[in-house]
Amino acid sequence: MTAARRFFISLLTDLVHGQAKAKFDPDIDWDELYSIAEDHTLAGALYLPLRALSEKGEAIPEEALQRFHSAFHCEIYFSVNREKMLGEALGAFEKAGARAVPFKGWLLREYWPVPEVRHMSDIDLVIDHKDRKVTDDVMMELGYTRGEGNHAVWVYSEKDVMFELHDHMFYDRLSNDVDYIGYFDKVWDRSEAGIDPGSHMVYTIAHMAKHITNQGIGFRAFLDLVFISRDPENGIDWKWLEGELKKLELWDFTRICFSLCRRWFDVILPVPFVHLSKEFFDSTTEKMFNDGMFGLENRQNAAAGTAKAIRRSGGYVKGAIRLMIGRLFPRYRDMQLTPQYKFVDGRPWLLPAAWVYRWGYCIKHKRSDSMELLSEPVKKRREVEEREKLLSDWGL
Amino acid sequence: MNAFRAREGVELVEICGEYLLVATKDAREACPFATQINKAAADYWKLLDGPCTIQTLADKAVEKLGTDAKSSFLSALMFVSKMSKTGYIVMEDRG
Repeated sequence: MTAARRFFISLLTDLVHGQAKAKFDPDIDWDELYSIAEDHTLAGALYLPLRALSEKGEAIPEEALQRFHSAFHCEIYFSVNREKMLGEALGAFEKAGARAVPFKGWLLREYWPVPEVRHMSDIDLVIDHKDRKVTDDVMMELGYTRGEGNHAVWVYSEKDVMFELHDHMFYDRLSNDVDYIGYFDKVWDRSEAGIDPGSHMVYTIAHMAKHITNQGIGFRAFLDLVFISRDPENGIDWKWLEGELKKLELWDFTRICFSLCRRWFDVILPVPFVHLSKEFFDSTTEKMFNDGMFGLENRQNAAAGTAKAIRRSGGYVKGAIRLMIGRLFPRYRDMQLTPQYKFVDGRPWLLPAAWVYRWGYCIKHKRSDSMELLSEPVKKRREVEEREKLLSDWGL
Repeated sequence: MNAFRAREGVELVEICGEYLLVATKDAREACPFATQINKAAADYWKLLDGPCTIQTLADKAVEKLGTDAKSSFLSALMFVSKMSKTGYIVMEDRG
């Protein structure tokens, strides 16, 4: 591990504990440190432990500190603007008779010691599907531009702030057959007060599992777990949480996530520790650095989708055949979520026509990519099987 | 004497001991997105609760901050000069 990576984890530990104890190599590459922090959207947050170290007399170069300081100011700027615009939007929704409930980052930030530095790329709200038109009218009237989304998520943006309006909290599949969509559809509308902390914690863990299954995830998600858990007023019944996560086949994954937090940040958390092998801990830590925020930076994640699908089928050959058929003839629920085929949305009888249109489109515009995708289970069997092992190591 | 006011949409926030003026809404087109100021400037900013002149701002500083008249006037002058250059303060006769 490079000196910058070691120091990065030490700084996160300082952030968790509100202390200034991180040690660093005098030859540390400060550009690498900033790059890592940026990849994990933590540059603004890490200004705080760096400032504390500087005030304590540690030799943090002024130029490096200033970069993190600027990132800190950026986060505050976006946070103040988001808060203002969210207030405006929620007021307008209420006036129009529609209910919109914040979830994900907007709820998670409240557990951070300084909520303003918890980076968010957008504000996520969940609405009732019947309120799609009303909420769309409100957002357009407020001056937002509607962006490219899909059936489940409509995106609205302006200069600095983006909203995602979801009509389901969860709409992905993991590498098992649990109905997460149905589970979370019953959760968000239970109370006028919004999503209860326990249910949102279940969601947060399921969301992490989705990212690990699909691509990867950065350190920020693990900091969310730590800050939620260490808040004495988090309102979570940990016995209830364990029961729900076991029902959702996420308890093993949860214990692994919390155990990683304990190893990285030297924290004791209210979830039983599970022993992590040196191989798993070292390879996972390296993957976290290589993955960046959502695993998009790491080419090793390319086989993720294939691994997920094959794992659900049980058996590589059977899974590979099912996957290839599935890629030639995607299901309605997948086609309706893809912007260029959304003409099938609400018209499942158009699915065969959509398949033909898709084959023509792919042959004309994406021939080599399409052939690579179809042949992936055969040509990239080793990568796919490595990915499957990774999911297994994570308890998924 | 020219009257001035805080530009609408500029907010003062204090985070971890730092005071920042943050531009929101339409103010984002007219001034820097965020500028750190010191506590003294933050105290003067909080006195801007409507159109002011340098003298009325200085008088408020004497009353609320307990500073003497001469240094309040000089501080108010410097504060307004700096804030109007960055666009956080708007002179009333120029809108």
